[in-house]
Order: sequence, then C-alpha cells, then structure tokens
Amino acid sequence: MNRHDNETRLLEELLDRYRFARPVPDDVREEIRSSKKKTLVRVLKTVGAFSALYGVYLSLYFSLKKLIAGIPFIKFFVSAATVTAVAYGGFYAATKRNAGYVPGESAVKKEERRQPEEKQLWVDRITLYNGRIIEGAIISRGDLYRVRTAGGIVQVPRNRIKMVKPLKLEPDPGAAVPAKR
Amino acid sequence: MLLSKKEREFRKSYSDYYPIILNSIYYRVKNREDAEDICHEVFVNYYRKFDEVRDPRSWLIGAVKFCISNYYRKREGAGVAGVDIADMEDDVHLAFENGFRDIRIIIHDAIEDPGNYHDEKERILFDLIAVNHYTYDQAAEHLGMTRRQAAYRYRQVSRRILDHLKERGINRIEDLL
Repeated sequence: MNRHDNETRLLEELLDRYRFARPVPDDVREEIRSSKKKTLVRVLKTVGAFSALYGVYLSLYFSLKKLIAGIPFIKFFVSAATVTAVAYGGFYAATKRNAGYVPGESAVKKEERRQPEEKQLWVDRITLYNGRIIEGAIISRGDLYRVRTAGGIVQVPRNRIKMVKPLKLEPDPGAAVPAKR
Repeated sequence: MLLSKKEREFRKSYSDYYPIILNSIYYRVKNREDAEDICHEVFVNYYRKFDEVRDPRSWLIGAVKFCISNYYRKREGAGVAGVDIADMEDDVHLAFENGFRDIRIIIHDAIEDPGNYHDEKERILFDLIAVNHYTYDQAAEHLGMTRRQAAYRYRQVSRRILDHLKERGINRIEDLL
C-alpha cells in the first residue's frame, strides 16, 4: 500500500468520491503486469511484424527493463563504471605483458635491453650526390637527417642524400664513431 | 538496426499505455478474456494507424470506446447475451446530474490539463496510481523507474493538480468529500 501525505490522500479521496477512480482487483492488476509481453507478441503476430529475432529482442527488453527499474541510477552508473575500468585495466595489462613490458622501465632501457650489442656494432654510411660521405649514427630522419658523428651532430637535407648504407664495425666498445668527409 | 523506427516507437508507446488501456477496458467490461481481446484489437488498430496518430492518449481512449461497443455488437449479432453498452460510457458531462456535475467538470479539467504534467510519463503515472490504484512499485515497474522516482513525481503532480483546483476556487478539498 502506498504511503501518502495528507494532500495526496485527499486528492485520491476526491477522485474516488466523484467517480474518477477505476480500480481493478489485485489479481487482475497482477494479470495485467504479466500479460504485457504476451499481448504485444500477439499484436505483432496479427499485424505480421513478428519474427523469431524480434521475439528474442522482446525477451531481453522486458527482462532488462525489470532488472534496471529496481536499481537506482547512481548505483547502475557506478557499477557500469567499475566493470568498464576493470575490463580496460585487464586488457591493458595483458597487452603490455605480451609486448614484454616491465612496469617502471623506460622505453630507452627496454630498447637497450633488447639489442645492446647490435647498436654499437653498426654505423650508417651516408653518400651524398656531391660525392661526400658521412659516417655516423642517424638519430632522426625526415626532410632533414640528423647524424651523430665523431665531430658532433651534422644535419643533412634528405634531397641531397644519394644512399644510406649500414656498415658493420669491429667490436671495439671503447672506440668512437668515426667521421669521414 | 534490428527494429525499424516505427516498431521501436510502437513498442515504447505500447509499453507505456498498455496497463492503463487494459485497466480501463477491464473496469468497463468486467471480464478478463473479453478485456484482453478488446485490448488486442485496440493495439492492432493502433499499430496500423501508428503513423497517422498525433496524440496517442486521445486516440487510444477513443479506440477503447469504439472497440468495446464494436466487440459487443458483434457478439450480440452472434447470439450472445446482450450487454448494455451505454452503461460503459464514462462521459463526465453526462454523469452525476444531481448537482455534482459542475465540480466533476472542474476536477476533470484539472486532471486533463497538460500544464500539470511535465511529460507523458507523469500523466501515465498519475493515472496508474490515483485512478487505477496501483502501488508505487507496480507503477514504477510499468514505467521503468524506481519506486522513489515514482513516489516523488506522483507527489509533484498531485500538488500541481491541487494548486489548479485552488485557482478554480476549491480551497478546501475536505468540503467536497
């Protein structure tokens, strides 16, 4: 039974007194509640708009409506946010784990860990159209190449580069990268 | 999309109006099977005319009256015992000739005034609780809201209707009871 304040109760009594109320017995009310989906299916079948897929959809719709109606919006929102956060966190952790990620390790360290020796054993030989040759490590590419050589960083426009060839050096960790012009 | 726009809107409209329509039919015919048959007929017609209907509430109420009389006329034709259809009319302007008619019209206007409802859901909520005597839980379930929302919105609507009655000179409801 509903609990009303005085004004609401008076309004309902007024509606009863002047025959606006149209109550039905409790069992009929319950029947109305339970027959909602059944009647809709019957109507849709009569007009030819019903299909098996639509039937499945209606079952889901009525089940969800009943489920969500009992949950206050804020609780529903918090639950949905928690589920999303956990799912995203799990996915992120799994992706990083597969990629060999170790928490706290920087990208540079990771790169060093992968191929520490190879980086020291190679040098790029850059041949320009004018015949000059630069040897060093290319540190950035693009319209302007930046090359670290023994004499410092050299910038070379890409359109002047004829060829870039990696050279293998003798393993000598103490040796500086040579620059030859 | 799985459903067409018409089907989606029809399902939503059906879901909102079904309880008050079936309730209204049952209240008049007092027979569960007949009420369900008539309700089925009303919504089949509603689906077929769905694109043309501008005001679903008025259309459905009109269709209820039409389908009830049609249903019993058919049954009378088939030899089933007659039912007095005139008794099922609920026209406020014809009822209570003995002095109450004016007050009934004022109350009717207050209930029907669209300014007292923020949206159609509030209107249906008021019908379910005040007119059909549903509990907050039952009304909330039909309309897909929580019990607390239903109770709050119902109180707001009731207050607006009472204010409307006060504007029409009915300051003390107790005097009318």
